[in-house]
Amino acid sequence: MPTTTRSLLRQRLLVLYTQTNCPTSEVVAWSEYDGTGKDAFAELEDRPYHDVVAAMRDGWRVIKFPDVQPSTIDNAYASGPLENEFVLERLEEISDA
Amino acid sequence: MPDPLLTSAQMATFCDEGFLRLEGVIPPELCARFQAELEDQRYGAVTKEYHFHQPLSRMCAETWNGSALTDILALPTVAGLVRSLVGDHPLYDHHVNHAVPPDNPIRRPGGNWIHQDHAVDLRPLTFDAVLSIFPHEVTKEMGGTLFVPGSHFRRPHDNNHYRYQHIRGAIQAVCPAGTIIAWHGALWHSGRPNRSGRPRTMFKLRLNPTAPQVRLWDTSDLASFDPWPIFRRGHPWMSNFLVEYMHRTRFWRYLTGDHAIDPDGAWTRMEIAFDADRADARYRLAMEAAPHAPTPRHLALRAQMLAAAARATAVPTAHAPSAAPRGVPAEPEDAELVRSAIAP
Repeated sequence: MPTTTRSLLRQRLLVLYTQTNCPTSEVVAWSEYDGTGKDAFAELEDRPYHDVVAAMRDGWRVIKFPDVQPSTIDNAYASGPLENEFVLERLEEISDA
Repeated sequence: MPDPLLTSAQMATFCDEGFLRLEGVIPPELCARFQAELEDQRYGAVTKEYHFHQPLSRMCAETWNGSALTDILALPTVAGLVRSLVGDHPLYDHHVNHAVPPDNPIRRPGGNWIHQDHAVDLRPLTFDAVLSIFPHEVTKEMGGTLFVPGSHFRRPHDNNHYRYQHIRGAIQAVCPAGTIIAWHGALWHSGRPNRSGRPRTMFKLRLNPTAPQVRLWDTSDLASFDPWPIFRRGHPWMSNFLVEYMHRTRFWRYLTGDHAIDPDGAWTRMEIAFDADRADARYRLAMEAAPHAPTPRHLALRAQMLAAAARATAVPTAHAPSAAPRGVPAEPEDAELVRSAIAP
């Protein structure tokens, strides 16, 4: 009977909020959701990367670009959630122990 | 002697950052008394036993009669702070004693969720003032309240901002005993993990105004005060800088009662609109975001600009039939003619 091998890969999500919706603009806020449990960025004093491209160069994959919402005359000055949200992922192995 | 009110510079800072810090304004003996009362549950463990939105003066005279909190609120600096933000007769909204035990479990990496109190509140100008009272010294390890300066104009609504863990420019309260941080009710904030071996206390009191919050501070220098150097500083988390500046100008117009103030001209530019624009419902919607009650001075200023624009082009447009004819020097009557053309 074949045995099933459990994958040791876990997904890490890094959400980077940037100054504009361009990936080269600087990061202004960030969140981390770490399926490995390490929470490697939890105690950082400042942003883990200057911009999204820098994160890409470190192996992170962009899986979501910010939505571009056209402003209408009746919402042009409303502001709410941070506008420019990039979601990145990286798969990392956990210990087999 | 009247209570010392906030200065124009302090109000402009509050307008821009959404909070003010008054360090060590509560005397040590009053801090100790307040701390003891908090530990004795003098102010109740829950808020529901109190009647919301009653006059603060009644709370102090009855429920909190003789308490350290009443004495704190009676300190001249504190009374002046409250009067400058919410006027002479504020209402008690609610209070919470945030008592965080030592080495409390971290609920999530980095600490508590950044949030906005009562995030369904969409009032663009009227604001509640919140007092965070720190009766003891707060070190960084104790995880005092974190604030996101300038975030009070952003209304994520309900719980749409719980996904933000770290925001550049956020400031954590590290302060001596007896500090009060007064903040705009819509400011984003968060408690932080207490990693010290000591319990941490922060008493929060929210107050509502009962009248428009116009020129409540010491306005003796207002005529010569320029808020623009403060408004244009920006904050590290900002993206739409121009929109953020416009929010500050609009709030400052509310606070000063002067709807002609416009440090960077952004609102005034849009108010140069002729009949075709003004007849469009979308223009009216946009102007709902602008001053809602133009003053005579504002109208006169606008009329002057329109008259100057008409003279510069030297061609009366179809939408501004009262523009000055070509070659005719500007006369005071021009302003009246143009005003009548643009009046709603």
